[in-house]
Amino acid sequence: MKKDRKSFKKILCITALVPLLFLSACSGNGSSSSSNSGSGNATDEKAEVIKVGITAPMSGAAANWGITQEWVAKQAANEINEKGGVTVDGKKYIFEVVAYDNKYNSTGGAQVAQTLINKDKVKFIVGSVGSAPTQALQTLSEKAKILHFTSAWSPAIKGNDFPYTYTTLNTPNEVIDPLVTYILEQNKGLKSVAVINPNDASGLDTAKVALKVWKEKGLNIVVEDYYERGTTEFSQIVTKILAEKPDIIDLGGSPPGDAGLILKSLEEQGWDGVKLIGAGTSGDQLVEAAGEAAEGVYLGLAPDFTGDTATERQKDLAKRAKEEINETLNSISMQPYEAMMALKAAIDESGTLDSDKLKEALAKVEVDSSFGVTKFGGEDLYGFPQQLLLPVTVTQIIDGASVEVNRISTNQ
Amino acid sequence: MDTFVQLIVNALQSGAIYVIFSLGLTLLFGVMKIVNFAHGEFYTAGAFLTYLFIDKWGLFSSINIYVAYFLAFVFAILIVGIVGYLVEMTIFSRFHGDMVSGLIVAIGLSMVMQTIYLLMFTANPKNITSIFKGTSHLFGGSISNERIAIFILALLFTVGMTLIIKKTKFGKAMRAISQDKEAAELQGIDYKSITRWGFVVGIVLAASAGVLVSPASVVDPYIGEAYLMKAFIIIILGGMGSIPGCILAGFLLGIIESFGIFYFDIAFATALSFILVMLMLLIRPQGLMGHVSR
Repeated sequence: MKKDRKSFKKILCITALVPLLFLSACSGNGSSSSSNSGSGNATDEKAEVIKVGITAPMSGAAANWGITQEWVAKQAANEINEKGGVTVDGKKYIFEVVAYDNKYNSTGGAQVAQTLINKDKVKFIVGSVGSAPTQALQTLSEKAKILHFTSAWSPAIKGNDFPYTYTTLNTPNEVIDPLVTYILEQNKGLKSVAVINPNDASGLDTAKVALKVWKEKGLNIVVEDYYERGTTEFSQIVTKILAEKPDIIDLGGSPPGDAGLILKSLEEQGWDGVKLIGAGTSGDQLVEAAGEAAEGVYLGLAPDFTGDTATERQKDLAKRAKEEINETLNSISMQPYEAMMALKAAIDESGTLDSDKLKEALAKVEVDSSFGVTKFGGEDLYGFPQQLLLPVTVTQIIDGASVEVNRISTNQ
Repeated sequence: MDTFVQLIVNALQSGAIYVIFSLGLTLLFGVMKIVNFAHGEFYTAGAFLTYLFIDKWGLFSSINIYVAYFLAFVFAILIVGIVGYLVEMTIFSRFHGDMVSGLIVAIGLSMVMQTIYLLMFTANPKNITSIFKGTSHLFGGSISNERIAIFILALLFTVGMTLIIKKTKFGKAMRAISQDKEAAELQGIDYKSITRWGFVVGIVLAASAGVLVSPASVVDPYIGEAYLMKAFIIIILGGMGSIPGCILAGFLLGIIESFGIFYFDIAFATALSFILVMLMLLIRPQGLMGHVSR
């Protein structure tokens, strides 16, 4: 009897402890709990609220993307709200941001989609990160005609099948060709390339576009390989790649941690050719992860938000993000800013919150993005103007610093 | 020939890392019956402390790098050892002999520690300054001096651990407890004290692995978790609690990965290591060098 009581106490203790530990693990910077802000501190108190959602990783290796997206979206919301918000049928509206952790997987993405759409009843999604969670979101958002602005990298989330989805960050179709062209112009006589990517949707989609572009440019693809995200040991893969003697190694959609380990292994095994990461979103993060081994790497999605080429708005956001949340902003971080500005422009233009009318407006409005004034395009490729036309930034690691070496303006 | 040598070198260097990571886990899992899912987080603690001492704070920047690294190592294992002692005293001591409850608590602890790291260091992977710079060429294969140092230190650690377990009074007491707790207590062995210090030794080994491996790798809040699955493969293959088994299985896994990835692909190598675990559990559940528990 005494033993039973002891066991019961133990079970009670565990039952109490586990949820406590779980909750403490979930709470924290940019957690799964909704965080409401940007709800108009300087605006008309009678203004109604438009809830906008974000689904992004706020835990795990990709947490930086979600944490910074949430922060940037709130800054954009504050900026719009402080200027009076938006007006629909003579009524003032301000924006409120609700963000959840999608764990960077489809299960998490589906759960967040349910919460945002059915519980929080958001009007718009201004940020989504990760191709798999974004696809999970689209199964609900498209049906509900919720306008959804995403940073998802996969071309599979675009096209006429997804009329309410817009990308406000460059994707492989926009980035890889100009990046490869620039690299081949700068490095003459290159003949062969090894392409390595994570074996998930983002990696496979990046590889698909990259392989096509490399072939079109006349290069011989000597290795096409894939690895599990989060792999800790790359020396074996690197030996396999180097046995084929490539002139270029394309790390495609590799995140900074994986890319750092691959670059270190390449350095250890004495290879010093041309290296690029098409989906590389932050040169600083890459240097932080790979140290000297990152030297010379080209990145296709890593605009410098602090340097000379950055706009004043980008510099201000990057500075404040460092001060307020100790995070470095990258191109994915900035995506909700472009989305909020696009949304504001469309609402201002159409004077409505109706998704179909906003779609019509999005096709023609000018968007005051963080890069400057631009608009949506890409109808030849995607069937309608679904892609915000942003410059392609070519960044290179030079003397341990991330240097934006070229900014190529997008034309349709 | 060069490629073959490189594959062997790769196998040895990754095997050494796996062995050093798995040593503490096999001690806790096999000898003390604690399924420590937070083992990887103590590895991460060692790695982050090295990052703080050497790179972030540059505490020892005015002295020789090797001395600085040694001091970082000493302080890191001291800090992690104290934390480990407190963790055992306040959490794990309540679940002695209850493997399932201990496992659940360890999972919770792992999540809490990861969140703390995330808040403190963000998710961005960090590079730690290379201590043993340069690359050496051995029989046509290339290996960084950092990896050679890890290999040598891993061997020294393993020999040291074997001697502690086999020759010292503390090691003998741990083995006695693992074989028969009641009989060990009847012989005057202080069960609580030995398990507490055994736990500290286990997690200090994890932290040591973090300090040693991190300059050749990267460190982020989840890096320890990535090594943990491989460590479980190793201790099942080698035999729970068997240090020679841990060494053998660690290098075996290194060889499987090195040759499997080169001649096939990474998915094949991963699948092969799990197939081996399944076969081992079916044919020889005690592992390559483990003993049948009675």
